[in-house]
Amino acid sequence: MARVLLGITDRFSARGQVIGTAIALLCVSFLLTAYSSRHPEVAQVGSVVVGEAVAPFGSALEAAKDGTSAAWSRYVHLSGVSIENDQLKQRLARAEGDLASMSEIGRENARLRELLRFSSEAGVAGVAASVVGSDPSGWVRGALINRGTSSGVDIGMAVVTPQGVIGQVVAASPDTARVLLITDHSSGVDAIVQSSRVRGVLQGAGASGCELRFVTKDAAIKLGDLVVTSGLDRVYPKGLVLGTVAALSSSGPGLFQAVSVKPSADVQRAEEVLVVGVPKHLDPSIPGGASR
Amino acid sequence: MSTPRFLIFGFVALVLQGALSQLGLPVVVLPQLMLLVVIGAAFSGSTVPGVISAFLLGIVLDLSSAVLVGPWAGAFVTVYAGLALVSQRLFLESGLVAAFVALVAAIVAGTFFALLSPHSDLAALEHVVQIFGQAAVTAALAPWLVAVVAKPGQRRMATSVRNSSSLSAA
Repeated sequence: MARVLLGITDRFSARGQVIGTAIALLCVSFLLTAYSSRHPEVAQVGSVVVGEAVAPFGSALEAAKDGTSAAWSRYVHLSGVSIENDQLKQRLARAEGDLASMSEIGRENARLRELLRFSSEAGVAGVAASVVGSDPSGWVRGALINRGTSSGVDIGMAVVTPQGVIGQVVAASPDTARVLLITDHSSGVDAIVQSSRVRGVLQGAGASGCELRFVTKDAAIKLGDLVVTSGLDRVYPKGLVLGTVAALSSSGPGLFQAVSVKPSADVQRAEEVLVVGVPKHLDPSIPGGASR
Repeated sequence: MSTPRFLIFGFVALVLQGALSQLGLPVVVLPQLMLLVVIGAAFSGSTVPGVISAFLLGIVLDLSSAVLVGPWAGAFVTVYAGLALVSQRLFLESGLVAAFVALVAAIVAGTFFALLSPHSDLAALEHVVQIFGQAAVTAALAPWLVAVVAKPGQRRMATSVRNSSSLSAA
């Protein structure tokens, strides 16, 4: 009986230690949250290590996915062939697999050509990159790309596709970089409506796209208007397409109207992107820039 | 569960979670695999290294977003500590219990994250749906994944200790 009581006491004291440690760590997490919200470089530096560790697995899974889809397409195409034609089936399967992978390479080639054409037409030199991962929690709308500081990609650079802006680099390691998409709730882009030159801040609104904030009710905006970057935030070059006005409402209280914007680029599904702009630490117009 | 085992499972869960997200799975049905690892570890017996590992896994998940450090760490510690408080009153061998615990834990963790993070807004229906959707999918996977993560020997031991405590009390 005494032994059992002693065991229970031990368990209670062990549980007390766990709870005590948990409370201490909870306080640490609150302090870290507060500190990192004021000093985003903390998260950026830490994410470099995590990004480098996870990126190879992400690329491997991507390759495995391509292989699986090629194998699946082979299987589907051969399901009706009789068993006597086994050898023929195998040759056909190989051919189908090659065709599938060539078709994939062809599509990738076309996308990269379009990226190059966009780069020369828009007059923005940049680094082409592939998206190799996204935010694992699903709460932050972000992407991981396979180019980092060794390729000239750095924090504060804009990420675009020929269809429009995707987001900006928020952390960079030598071989990878993390991109915060324009649809994330904490993302903001200085924007103007192309036809009326009305200025506002394009803020992310999650799955529903983006919202153009701080547009007064008397501003002349209509559905379908093109929203482009103003260039004033020193992140995105001027004139890049952000999206089109998808909904308007002036009925709410306050000075501003509610303007929903549908991003032109499919930000969640972009595969090849172009990283453009000047890294923050090289921008002489930013205090402290060009000093690193 | 040993700390290295816990951290390895956590890292695998992070990679798988990232892969599911990359496959284009809607965020509403994205399971919180790392949370299931934390639940599995807490089911195996709550220890001080365990709660520290839960904290570290949360930090890693935070860092994988590169924006804010702390919300997921706090959420995982809360879930682990909560389970440490109630695990002796639960029939850990039951899959239904694992599913229910995962449902509650995912709602708690999601709400905790949403309250602290600037990326979410609890007033937005989209985020409330996301919390409950992810919790439901996480709960559906819990009976299998928690069983894989939790060390069977330790789970049995925890149950037998609970039973002997009940007998002594009787």
